[in-house]
Amino acid sequence: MRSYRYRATRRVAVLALIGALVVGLAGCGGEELTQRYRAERMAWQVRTLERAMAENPDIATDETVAKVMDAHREIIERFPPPTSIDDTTPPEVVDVARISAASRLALATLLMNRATPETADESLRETMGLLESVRDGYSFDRTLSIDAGTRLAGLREMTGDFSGAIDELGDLLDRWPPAIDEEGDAPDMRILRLPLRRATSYAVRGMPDQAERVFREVHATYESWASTWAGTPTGEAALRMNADAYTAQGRWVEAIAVYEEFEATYGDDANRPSTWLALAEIYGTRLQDERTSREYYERISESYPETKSAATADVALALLDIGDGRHEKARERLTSVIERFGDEESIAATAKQHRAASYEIEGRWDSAIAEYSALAAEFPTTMYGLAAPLRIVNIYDGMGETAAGATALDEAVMSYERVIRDFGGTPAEMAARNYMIQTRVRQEAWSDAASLLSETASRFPEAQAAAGMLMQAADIYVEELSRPDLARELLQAVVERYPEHDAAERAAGMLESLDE
Amino acid sequence: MDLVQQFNALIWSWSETLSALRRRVGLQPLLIYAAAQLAALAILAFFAYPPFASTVAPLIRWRLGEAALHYPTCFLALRASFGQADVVLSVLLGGVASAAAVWLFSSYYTGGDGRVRDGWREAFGRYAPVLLAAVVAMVLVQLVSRVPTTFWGHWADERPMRFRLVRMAAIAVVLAVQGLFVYAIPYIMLGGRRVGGAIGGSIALAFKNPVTTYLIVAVPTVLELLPAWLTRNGATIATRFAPEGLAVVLVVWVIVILYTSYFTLGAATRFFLYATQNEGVAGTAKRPGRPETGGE
Repeated sequence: MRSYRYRATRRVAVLALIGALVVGLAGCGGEELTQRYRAERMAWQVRTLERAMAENPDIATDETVAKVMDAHREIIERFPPPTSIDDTTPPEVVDVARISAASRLALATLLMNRATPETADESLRETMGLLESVRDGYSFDRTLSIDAGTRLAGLREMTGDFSGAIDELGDLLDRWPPAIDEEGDAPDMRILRLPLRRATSYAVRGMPDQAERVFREVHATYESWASTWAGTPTGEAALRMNADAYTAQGRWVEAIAVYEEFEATYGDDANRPSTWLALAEIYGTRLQDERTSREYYERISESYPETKSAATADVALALLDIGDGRHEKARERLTSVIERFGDEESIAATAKQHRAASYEIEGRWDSAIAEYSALAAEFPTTMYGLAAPLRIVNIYDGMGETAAGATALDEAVMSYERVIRDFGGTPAEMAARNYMIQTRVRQEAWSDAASLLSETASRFPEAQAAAGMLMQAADIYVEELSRPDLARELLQAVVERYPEHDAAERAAGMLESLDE
Repeated sequence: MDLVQQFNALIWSWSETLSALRRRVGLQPLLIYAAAQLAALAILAFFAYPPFASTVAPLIRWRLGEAALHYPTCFLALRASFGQADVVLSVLLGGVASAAAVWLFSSYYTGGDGRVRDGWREAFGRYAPVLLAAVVAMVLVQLVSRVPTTFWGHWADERPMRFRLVRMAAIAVVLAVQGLFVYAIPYIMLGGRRVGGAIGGSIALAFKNPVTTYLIVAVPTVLELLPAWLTRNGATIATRFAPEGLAVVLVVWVIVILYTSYFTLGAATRFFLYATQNEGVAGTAKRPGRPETGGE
C-alpha cells in the first residue's frame, strides 16, 4: 500500500515539475502581444465612448469629454514613444506605437476644441507638445508624421508664428516624397498639396512678393514631381496641382495651358469632367469668354450627364441663360438637374433655388413663392432651404401685401422651430436660430428675439457669434424693452466669458453708461 | 416500430432521462467535459496574457490569421477558435466522457448502482474504439457542414435567402448524420462491439427507427438556437456592449451544450437499451423497461 502511495505521489511530483517547466518556458516571451492587447483594449474603450458621443451629442457633456481625455492621457502615459523602430521591430511594438500616437493626436484635437479663453494658452502648449512628440517620436509612420506636421504648421500659423509654419511645411516636404510607394501608384495628396499651401499662406497674409517667389518654387516643385513620376498617378496629381497653383495665382493663361496638357496626358472619364469644369470657370468668370466657357459646360453636360460635374455645369448654363433672359430654357435645365440628382441634397436645393429665383426675376410671384415653399419643405437644413422662408416674406413685402407678409413671417417661425427641434445639435440648428432671430426682429417680437439671442449664445458658447448675440440681446433689452437690469446681466456675461473679444470692451462701456 | 410507437418511445426515453437528471445520473462526465471546454475557452480568451501569449497565440495565428490576435477582433474570432479547439476536445475527451455517461445511464436504467469511477474506468477501457467512432462521426459531420460554403458560398451575397435555406438543409443533414452515429458508443460500451460493428449497428438501428432517432438528436439542439443567434450577431454585441460579452455568450453555449448532450445521450441510451433488449446487449438484463405503446 505504502509503495503504491509512494509511486502515486512520485508521479504527481514529476507531472507537477514538468507542468511548472512548461508554464515557465511558455511564460517567457509574448510581452509585446500582451502590451498590444492592452493598448488596443484601452483604445477601443475610448473609441466606443467617442463614437457614442458622435451619435448622441446629448451625452457629450464636459464630464464625458474629460473622461475621454483622461483615457487618452492614460494611453499616452502607459505607452511612451518607442526608442527606435526599424525593420526588425516586432509588428506588435509598431502597433502599440501607432495607438499611442493616435491618442496623442486625438487628445491634441480635444484640447484645442475644448479650450476656453482661460485655458487657451495652456491647451495650446500641451497640444503643440503632443504634436511635436508625434512628429519626432513616430517619424517611422508617414501618416502620423504628416498629420502631426501639418497640424503643427496650422497651429503655428494661427498663433502668428508664420515662419515657423512655413518651416514646418518645408520639413515635411524635405522628408516625405509625394508618392507613398516607389512606383508612384499611390500619390499622397497631403504632401502634394503642401507646396500650394505654403504659397497661398504668403498670398493670404498679404505678402505678394514672397508669394510670387514661393509660387515660382511651387511650379518648379510640381514640374519636377510631374516629370519624375511621369505616367503614374503621382505624376498626374502633380500636373493637376500645378494647374491649380496657376489658378490660385491668378495666372489664367498658364493655368489653361497646364489643364490642357493635363487633359492631353492623363485625360480620362474620371478626371475629364472636373478638368473641363475648371477650364469653363476660368474662361467664364476670369477671362469673360462666355462662349468658350459655355462650350466646356455643354461638353460636360452632354458627355457625362450622370456626374456631379454635369450638375454643376447645368446649373452654370442655367445661370447664363437666366442672365440672358432665357428663363424657360434655364428652368428646363434646372428641372432636369433636380430629376437626375434629387437625392443629392445640395445639388437639388441649388437647382431649386435658381428655379425659384428665375420666377422671381420674371415677376412670376406665385410660382416663386411655391418654389421657395417647396425648397424650405424638402431641403430644410440646406443653406438655400433655410433662407427660403424669409425670401417668401421679402416677396410679399415687395408686393406690398402686408397681411400675407405677416402670415409668411409666422410660417417662417414655425419652419425654423421645426429645424431647431428636429435637427438639434447639427450645424443647421445654429443657422435656423440665426434666421429665427432675424424673423423675430422683423416681427418686432422683441422679447422673443432677446430671449432667443441669449438662449442661442448659451447653447453655443464657443460660437464666434456668441458674444455678439449677447450684445444684440442687451441692445434690445435697453432700446426696445426698457429692461436695463436684464441688459446688465448679459453685458456682465460678455465681459466675464469673452474678455478677449472685441465685444467685451463695448459691453464694459455700455455697463458704465447704464450705471450712470 | 410504427410511427406512434416511435413517438411513444421518444417521449418515454425523455421522461426516463428527466428522471435520471433528477438523480444527476451521468452528469459528472459531461460536467468534466464542460469544465474542459470552459478551460479551453478561458485560455483562448486570455491568449494575450502570459503564459498563453507565447503558446496559444501562435496557434490562433496559424489557424485564423493575424487579425484574430487583435482586440476586439479576437472576440469576434473566439467562436471560430473555440469551435476548432472543441473539435479536438470533443474527439479526445468528449467521446470518452459520453462513453462514461452512457455506461452510467445504462446502469441506472437497468436498476444497477454504477459508480462514476466505474463509468470512467469502463470508458477508458474502450478508449480506442470510442475515439475511432468519435473521429469517424466528427469527420463526416465536418464534411457535411462545410458543403454549403464550399459549393454555394457565392450565394451568401448574391442570393442570401437561398443560401440561408441551403444552410438550414445542411444543418438538417448534419443532425441526420449525428443520428446515424448516436448509438455507436452504446454499442461499444454496452454491446461490446468493435468500431465497425458499432457504427453498422448504430446506422441499422437509426434506419429502423428514424423518427425517434432523428428527434432524439434534433430536439435538444433547439436549445442551441439562442446562443447561436447571439454569436451570429457578435459584431452588434461587441459594439453595443463589450467584445468580452461574446465570451459570456460562449460560456452560455457550453452550458447549453452540456444539457443538449445530456438529453441526447440519456434518451439515446434509454432507447438503445429498449430497442436492443432482444439482442442480448449487456446492461439490459435487470430493468429494460418499455414504453406503453398501445398499438401492440
